[in-house]
Amino acid sequence: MTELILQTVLGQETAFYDEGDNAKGLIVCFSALDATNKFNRVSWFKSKEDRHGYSVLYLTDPTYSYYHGEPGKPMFHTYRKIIEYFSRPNKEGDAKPIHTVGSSMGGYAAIYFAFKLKLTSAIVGVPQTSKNNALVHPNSNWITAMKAATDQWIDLELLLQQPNNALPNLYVEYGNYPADKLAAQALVDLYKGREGLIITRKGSSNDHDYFLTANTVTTTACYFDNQDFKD
Amino acid sequence: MTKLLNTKQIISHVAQMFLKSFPNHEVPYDTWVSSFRFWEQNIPEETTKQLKALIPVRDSIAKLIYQHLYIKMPFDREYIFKKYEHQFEDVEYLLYPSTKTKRLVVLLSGYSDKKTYNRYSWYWDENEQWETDTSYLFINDTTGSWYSGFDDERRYSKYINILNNTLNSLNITSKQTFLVGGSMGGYGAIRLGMEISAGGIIAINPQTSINAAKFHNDPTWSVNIERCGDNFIPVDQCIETSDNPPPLYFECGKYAADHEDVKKILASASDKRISIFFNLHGSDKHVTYSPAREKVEALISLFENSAMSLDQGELDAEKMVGVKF
Repeated sequence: MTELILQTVLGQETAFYDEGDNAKGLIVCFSALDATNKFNRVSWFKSKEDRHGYSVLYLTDPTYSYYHGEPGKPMFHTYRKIIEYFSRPNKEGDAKPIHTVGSSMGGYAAIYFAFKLKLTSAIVGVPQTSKNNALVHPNSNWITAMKAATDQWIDLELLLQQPNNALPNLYVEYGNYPADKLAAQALVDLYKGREGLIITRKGSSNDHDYFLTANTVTTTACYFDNQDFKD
Repeated sequence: MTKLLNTKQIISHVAQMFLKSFPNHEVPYDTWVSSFRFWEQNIPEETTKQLKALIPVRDSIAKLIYQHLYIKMPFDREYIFKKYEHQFEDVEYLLYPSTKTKRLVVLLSGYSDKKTYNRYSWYWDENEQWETDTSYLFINDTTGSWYSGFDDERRYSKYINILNNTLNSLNITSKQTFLVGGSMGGYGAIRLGMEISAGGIIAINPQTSINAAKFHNDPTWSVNIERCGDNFIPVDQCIETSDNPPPLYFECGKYAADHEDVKKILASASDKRISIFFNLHGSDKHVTYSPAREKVEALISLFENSAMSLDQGELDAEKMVGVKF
């Protein structure tokens, strides 16, 4: 068992399970909007066995702004630098795979950062993808948080069309909750329009639930690490 | 008068004569056959008339001579068909049976004018010991009827019978079966895999419906599929009507005929709650070398992992966070 390292980096609280120089890659977990705990999924990777050789970094967004930050204080580069700080290159100096993980707001952030930072994959459950789809959610908490991001906010439907970056490998879970279904369909449409590997899995829940587990995360990450899906 | 020899005697005789000139040490077949062909062209003067009449031998015979010497049979179509091909009614198929089967991989050929079995060279075991835990079944559809059958022929039932008989003989279940195919073979993989509730399906650029097939720049696909009538079922309906649909890896590019039904398939897959792996790439060509052997193996390993079982996933999640699904 490795101890969870809690530290503040660039003013942000982080938690980290360190597999050292031999780590086969980094898993970055983004906490969700209404997290009871500051860091989601800490218990998932508590045992070394469950990490399957990956170091795991936990990030949180105390401003509840989808990791964009408050007006006049954009957070993109802060989180970027934190991820870079915790990722270790291999002996040859090449970058190791980095996978982002999150659900709901954390799912949005996982896809956002995987795309913007050209990371290996995003492994997400029930992500929000746009303000329009969020309107289908009867509670106003999503929209309020999106509005908190002010001009930093961007719908994933638009972001993922930016031509400079390739789409990351994407694993997405969703159920019958209408806002989640719309978001998942939008993501598949995007992948259909461009190119990339998307794994979709639909659960049976009618609520805003997902069924991602530690085993699914590491299995999927290993799979993405070893595959070249280009034509 | 020269005595007539049968094939076994020819092999033994030529092998013995060859050994007199070349030391018996094992090298890969490609290297060995160069030496062998050189020897054939330069046989010693004193060699008998009988031997001179036997050489040069056909490629298939050269391989059997190699097998005679080193107990290893190089890949040879004629030999494999003779020894490993079977027939059910009018459908021929090839089976490499493992001695300790944990899974069956079924490889389906695409549309072709000549009879072939896709990728059967990949899994050929020169020692014929078949000691891995995977058996391989190769099927094709020489009628070009998309594994469905033209008019009144219920051809797909024959394939289902072949699959079931093979599973019985190997003593494994359909969940331990994985189907792989491209183009017409991709459609066949989905059709048969959904029907038997296999463990997973890998389909590369499959034809998905008659409407989609009409986008192809040659009418062969749509004409043949139309001739199948009700025997051909569009992919979204194959998924919808499956009792227990397996995870599906679906790869296609921008070629319109391959791409047309992606959304429909997602909708069916969503309704049936199956894991679907869409690898949507940028190529505008239908023909591809995919899937590579490594990709097939990685996907099967992922299909077999309990992490990919939805029921197991929901159960695990329930344990972790106490949410009831």
